Amino acid sequence: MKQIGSWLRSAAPSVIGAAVFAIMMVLSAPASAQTGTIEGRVTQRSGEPLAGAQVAVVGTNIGARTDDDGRFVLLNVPAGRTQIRVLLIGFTMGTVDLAVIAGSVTTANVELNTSVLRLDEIVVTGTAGQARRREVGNSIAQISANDVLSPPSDMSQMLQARAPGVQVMQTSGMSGAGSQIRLRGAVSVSMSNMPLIYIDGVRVRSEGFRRNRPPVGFTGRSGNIEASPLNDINPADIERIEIIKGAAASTLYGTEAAAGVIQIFTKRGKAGAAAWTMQVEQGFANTRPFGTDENPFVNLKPCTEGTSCWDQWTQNTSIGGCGDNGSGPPGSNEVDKHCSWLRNAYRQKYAGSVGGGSERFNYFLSGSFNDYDGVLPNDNQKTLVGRGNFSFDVFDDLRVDVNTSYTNNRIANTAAGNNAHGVTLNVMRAERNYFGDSDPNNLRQLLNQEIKTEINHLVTGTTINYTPVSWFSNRFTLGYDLAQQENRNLRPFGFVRARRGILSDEQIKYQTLTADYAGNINFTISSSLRSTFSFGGQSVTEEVIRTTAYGQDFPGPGVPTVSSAALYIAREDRIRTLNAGFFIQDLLAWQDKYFLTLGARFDGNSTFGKNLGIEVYPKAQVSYVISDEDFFPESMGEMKLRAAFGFSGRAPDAFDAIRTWDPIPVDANPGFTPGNVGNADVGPEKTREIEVGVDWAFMDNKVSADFTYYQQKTTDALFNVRQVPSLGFLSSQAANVGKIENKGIELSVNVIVIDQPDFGLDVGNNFYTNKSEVLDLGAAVPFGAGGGWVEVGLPVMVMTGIITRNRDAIAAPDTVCGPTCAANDEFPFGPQQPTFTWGHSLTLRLPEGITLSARGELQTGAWINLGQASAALSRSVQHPLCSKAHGILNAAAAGSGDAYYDGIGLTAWERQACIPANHDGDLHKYKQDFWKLRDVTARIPVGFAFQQLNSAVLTFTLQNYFRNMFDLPMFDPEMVGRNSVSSQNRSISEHVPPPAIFTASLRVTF
Amino acid sequence: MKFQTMQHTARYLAPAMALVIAAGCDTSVTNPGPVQDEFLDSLNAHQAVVTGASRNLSDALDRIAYWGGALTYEINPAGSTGSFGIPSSVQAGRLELDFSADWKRVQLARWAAENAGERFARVLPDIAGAPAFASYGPAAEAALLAGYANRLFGENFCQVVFDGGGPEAFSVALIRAEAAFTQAASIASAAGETDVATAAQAGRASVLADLASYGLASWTDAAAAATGIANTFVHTANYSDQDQSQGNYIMIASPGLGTYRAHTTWGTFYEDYFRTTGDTRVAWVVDPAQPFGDAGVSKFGGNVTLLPQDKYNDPEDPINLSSGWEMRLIQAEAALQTAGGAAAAVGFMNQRRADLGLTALTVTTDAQAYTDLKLERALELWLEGRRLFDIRRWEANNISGGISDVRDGIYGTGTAGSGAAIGNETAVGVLDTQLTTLATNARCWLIGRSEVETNTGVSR
Repeated sequence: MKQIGSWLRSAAPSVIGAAVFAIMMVLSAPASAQTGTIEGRVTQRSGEPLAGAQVAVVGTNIGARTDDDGRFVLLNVPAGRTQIRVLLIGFTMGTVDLAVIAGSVTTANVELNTSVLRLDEIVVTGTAGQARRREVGNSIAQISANDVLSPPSDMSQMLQARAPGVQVMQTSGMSGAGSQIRLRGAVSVSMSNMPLIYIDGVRVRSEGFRRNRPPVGFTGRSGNIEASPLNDINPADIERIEIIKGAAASTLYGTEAAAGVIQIFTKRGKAGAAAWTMQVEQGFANTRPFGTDENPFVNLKPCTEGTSCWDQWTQNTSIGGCGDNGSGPPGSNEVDKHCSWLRNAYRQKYAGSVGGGSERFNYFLSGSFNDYDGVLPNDNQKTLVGRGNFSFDVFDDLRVDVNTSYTNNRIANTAAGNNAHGVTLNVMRAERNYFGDSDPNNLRQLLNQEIKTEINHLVTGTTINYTPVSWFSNRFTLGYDLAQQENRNLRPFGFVRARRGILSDEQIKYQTLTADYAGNINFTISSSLRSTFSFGGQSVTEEVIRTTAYGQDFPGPGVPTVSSAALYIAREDRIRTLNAGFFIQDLLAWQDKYFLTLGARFDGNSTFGKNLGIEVYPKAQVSYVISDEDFFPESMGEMKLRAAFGFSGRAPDAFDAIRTWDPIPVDANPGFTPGNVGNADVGPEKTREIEVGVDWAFMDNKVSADFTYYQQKTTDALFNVRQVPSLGFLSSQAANVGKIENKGIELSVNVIVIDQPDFGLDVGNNFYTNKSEVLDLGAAVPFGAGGGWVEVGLPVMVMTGIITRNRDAIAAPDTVCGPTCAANDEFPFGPQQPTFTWGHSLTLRLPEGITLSARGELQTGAWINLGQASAALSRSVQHPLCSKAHGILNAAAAGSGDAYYDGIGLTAWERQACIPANHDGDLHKYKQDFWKLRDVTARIPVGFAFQQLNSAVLTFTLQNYFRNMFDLPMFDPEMVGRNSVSSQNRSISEHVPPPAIFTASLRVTF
Repeated sequence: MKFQTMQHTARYLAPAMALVIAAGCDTSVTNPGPVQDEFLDSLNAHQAVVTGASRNLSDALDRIAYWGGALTYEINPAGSTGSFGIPSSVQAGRLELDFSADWKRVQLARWAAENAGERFARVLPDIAGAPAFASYGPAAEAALLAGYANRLFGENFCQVVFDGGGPEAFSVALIRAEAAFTQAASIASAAGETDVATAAQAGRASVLADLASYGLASWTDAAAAATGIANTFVHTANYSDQDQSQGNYIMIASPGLGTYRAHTTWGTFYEDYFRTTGDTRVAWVVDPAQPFGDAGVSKFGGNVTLLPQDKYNDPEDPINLSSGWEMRLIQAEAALQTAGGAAAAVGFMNQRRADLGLTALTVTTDAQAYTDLKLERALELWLEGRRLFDIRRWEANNISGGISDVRDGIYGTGTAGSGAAIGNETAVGVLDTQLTTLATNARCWLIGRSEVETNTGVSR
């Protein structure tokens, strides 16, 4: 009952809202009216039917989708003059004015023209209700499922390199590893820079799921990856994704949306017979070389026949030897077979969906299952996803959408990363590892760990659209996102590094409850001037409940539970935050080509300090469809000019406002230790963004471009201000003291080079720049954050370290950074986020419907820490980076001092890096500039082989096969450390890079 | 919208606005877990405040004792430099500004204990029926912890800073420690807490001896404070095997728990001394299954023979803060301040040696007795975080005998796993001076970078 009570309290605003709304609906239930029917067909100008077009009676909720023959039927349309509006992505909006006669059928055929800018397409994200693109003053990136030729294995790949300003970095090649997503760089130093994620209007968790790790002891006893909730979505369920990248667009989302918003829209059924889709996918993953030329896999693929390594693997009968597929601990057989820690990892996926419906009821059901082995021996991910989307036209003016998805995600990992019990660390460090030898027969004992994560994720939402009168529409969404995670981490009895065994089991519940209302009132002020007044409110309650059980020292072999252990302890954390607010907005439209939007959001938040009241975030936007002017030459195509200005924010953490002490155990006794200093004035940091841009399509729509300049300034930035240690409280305290800036441009240019019926060539490019700078620190002194350094005049969270000015000289190292030195006495190399990104694609259409495409991505300007090298070299590891120096040192007589090093020919850098006593952890900073071939895809229609089907397409895809790094001497920028999805930190640890993946996929519809 | 429909609008707008207001009305949330500061004013919370401060002291002490032990060659590095390891710079004999963590831990230990006392003094008068501060048991414990925390601070840091102020001489912390011990003894006596009172007296004796080395107190007073403490008395900083963060850090970095083999007695004076004498105060062991440390050590030319210390062989093994045997050595050192005091001094030292079954020291000269005293303190206080200050104070005050009397870096010629001293002379070549001589910047910890960068009263 307590739980129910707690839920009720947390949901109170939502429940009250729902009740009020229900009463409102009952009060205004429609009276019966005289109605008629409209039917018709939607086609292209060529006469080709258009399936899936949205046909709606303006001012009502009456609507339908066209069937495969482009036909539609609208029932119960109020008699009288009316207008129908037809929308389909990729086409200009079609409208037809007509008169409906009660009891009769009126025919309306509509022709749609192709539109590259899609100015009349409805967008939802960042708008108060719905808006046409022409009305919106900010840039909105949209990724349509139809634009994605290769079947993406997860959501991250669907987003990667497809829109300017959208930065998606994979975090490792381990099973289940999520990606780090940044929209227009980092707007916050202390808070999250992950954008908010909405699925069909329901807010879902965007931060990574907690890393599977024991609660006590060293936190790295793990696979050291973070799974991302985004990857719980089946990409095949997605119809389109809308992305708004900054505060100018996300103002109406209020506190929390400064890093942008990604909204995912899933597929819906169309009126008509059930349409089935089935897909089967098979493939494998393979790790490409990521070390040096001499050691391309950094010892993970060590064996060549005839070498001592091969002998070590083959001569020990206990593991059977190379080529044997015999017994051994789970997951070890592949290791044995290939004399390698890396394997060709089999992947399989099966998916199906069915959609259909009638005029008043549509459904879409889907399911998928994938089983992906990882390239490391114990790595595997099995994901089961089910979805049901239902739409009911309850009344003519009342539509209800219910969308639910459930995901079961099971991830098994090999112990990896910066982990002394890990396979990768010990193999990479060879004879200077924690075993003191590189014998695989010893190291393979490290595979005898169980690091398993299971995530059950439910996202459900109900959206009610109610239009009691044509000028007044309401949308109410109640959403619930529930993820239950279990992290089980077992080092069994007899494990080589914990002989008596250790087990931790962590149960985490993440829940987000969203109640969202938006109302729109349309005023027709004159024939040319129209106003849409919008208002609404939103409450988001987020809660994370975590209980952990930990046990160590088991009495003997067997499968233990925590309570099998001689010593066991439990931990519990509960954090709940509540944000609630409301907004008002007015959109003025003049002649349907000049648009002005003014609005503001008002927010309260449970994390704000007691001295803080309601926070206000204003916005203003203008949009001008200049191509609708008479003076605009038709040959110049379509053009929209736009500008937007707005604020958004990020809330502080749950305990930042209050002075607290933390309970700590002292053996069996309770104690308190200083926790937060507390700040009663703490509030959200506010990001103000200005963006101006132009969307333009010309040369008969063969060239389309959009350009945006953006400038983001975060004021009252929350910095974790370091406290004076001698004053007792050691934890840094969040305070609104700083000011940081991000600015840059985005340019997207797509060119249809050849457009013949049987042959075509499209070239796509998107460019993005980002320059960040710390403008002010307020009362804070320079400090470290996110793996970097925060100081006025430098890029935000700049990577600092030791510079060797005479790196290649045979001389004593010159490491003086002088006046360019940061306050931490280190050289500021550069930002950790790229300053330039170029995504590019090439699509070739061939006869018989065959399509070939390739996508690449170039990123430059970011710096990364090669943490693996620092950790290894400081421990005397014979590291590939120092192979030349080690050769010299091993051959030379013992000695030390610069005169000695001059004599044996060690460079300045080698003296610092390759001699452990001289080694400093801040030495290995590299530019992470890289180019990657993201994917190459061939789509081949094979309908001829399945003539009873509507369509059949065979797709071959190769992902991540090639990369070129311009400065980083080894590894891959997309393999970083722990907590990598949520944190800013970019440091390479002992992981494996994202592998090349080859898949063959067959998709049939019937 | 036409004007005449405004009434209609109001009808629909009203409930919608009600929804908006409902959504935004109350955002207050109280999360469980951390406790608000004012809750600790309650009488029922005071013991937990003291207990927390004791954990802070234990956490500060074992880290200082570990790296201080490495600096003074009580142990040698055997591998790890990161977690649970000995950083490269400490291995090279350097204590740097970057060791903020040690500074912060010691400051936390000091501040938490002192703040506890201040809180009790502030709130007790306002709590009906509460005992007086002057006889309040938790106040005595807090003062005792403040004494030991200040002793740790003063003995190991070159300069000290209090409560956001400017840098002061380390002796200020020792003087503060003496005051805290005095207060603790007084309150504990009034409260009837004998053990706390005895520990306070022992702690006071030790800081009086520290101060006496610099002429800031009298050896007579130090000896007088030490006199009443029984040989068998021990007061410790406690650890727990409840979880790794509560464990004795020195032990956790040793073999036995499975992961780390970060330090060894190999190559130290104590290696050969224990092999020769069997003095259990500096015991080490051999594990044939784990002959080497957990990584290579550059200055030793590779993997290092593992002879782990055996003083702490369980994560919950405590570290002595004061003991009766330390008191005898204080008395011995006090005796040596007077010419001809050697006989008395050796008498005190031999009490302990007899207890351990070791050969008695003989009385020769005062200088020899001082040399013996230095060795006895090195043995008695081994890996307790005291050695660095002993070296500092003897060196600074030109105490006869010199620190070279306790040699560092003795190498044998045994083979791995034999238990005999294992030679690595070939790899090492000649003994690097840094193996045997304390570097000049390794006498004490510097003010932590975190203090330097945040406290405007402390210049860079």
